[in-house]
Amino acid sequence: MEKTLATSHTKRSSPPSPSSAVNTSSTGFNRRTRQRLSDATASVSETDVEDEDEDEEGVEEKIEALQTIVPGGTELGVDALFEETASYILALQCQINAIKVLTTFLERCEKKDMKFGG
Amino acid sequence: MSNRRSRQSSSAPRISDNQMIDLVSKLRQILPEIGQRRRSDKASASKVLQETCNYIRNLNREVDNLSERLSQLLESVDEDSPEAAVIRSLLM
Repeated sequence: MEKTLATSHTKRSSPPSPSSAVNTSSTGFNRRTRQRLSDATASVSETDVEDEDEDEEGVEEKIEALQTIVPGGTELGVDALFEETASYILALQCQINAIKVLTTFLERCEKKDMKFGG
Repeated sequence: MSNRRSRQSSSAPRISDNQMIDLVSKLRQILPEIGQRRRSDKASASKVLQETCNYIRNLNREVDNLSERLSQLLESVDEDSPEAAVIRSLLM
C-alpha cells in the first residue's frame, strides 16, 4: 500500500540575503515525493529593506495567503482567522482519517473478492 | 503574480506584537514540527504562517488524492455484495 506523507518538507531554495533576519535553515530530510505547485505566495523580496519592515511585510503577505486558502477567511479579522485556521486544519485531518478508513476497508474487500474469484 | 505588495494593505489588518505571539503559540500546538524551532517571535511568526499555508495545501491535496482513490474503489464494488451493504450502513 502506498504511504503518502501528510506534510512534505520540501523547502523552496531562496537566494541568501545577508540583511534579512529570516534565515532558512535547510533540514537534512529533503525528500520530494511529489512535485509541488508553486502558487502566488511567498515571493521572496529582493529589495534591500530593513529587517523589521521585511518581517512585518512578509507576515502580512502570508496572512493574506492564509485568508485565501481558508474558507471564509477573507471576511475575518486576524484573531478569528487564526481560530478558523485551527478549526479548518483539524477538520481536514479528520476528513483524511475518515477517507483512509474507508479506503482501507474497500481495498481489503477487493483483495478478498480477487482471492475468491481465483 | 496578483499578490500586490504594499505597506498599508487594506485586506489584511496590521497585527500587533501580542497578537503575533498569541498566533505563534496557537499554531505551534497544531503544527508540531514548527514547535521544535526556537527563533525570534517575528521571524518565527512568518515561518509559522508559511508552514501553515503549506500544510493546509498539502492536506487539501491529500484529501483530493484520497477522494479519487475512494471513488475508484467504490466503482469497483458490486452493488449486491455484503461490502456495499456495510458501506451503506456506514454512510446512512
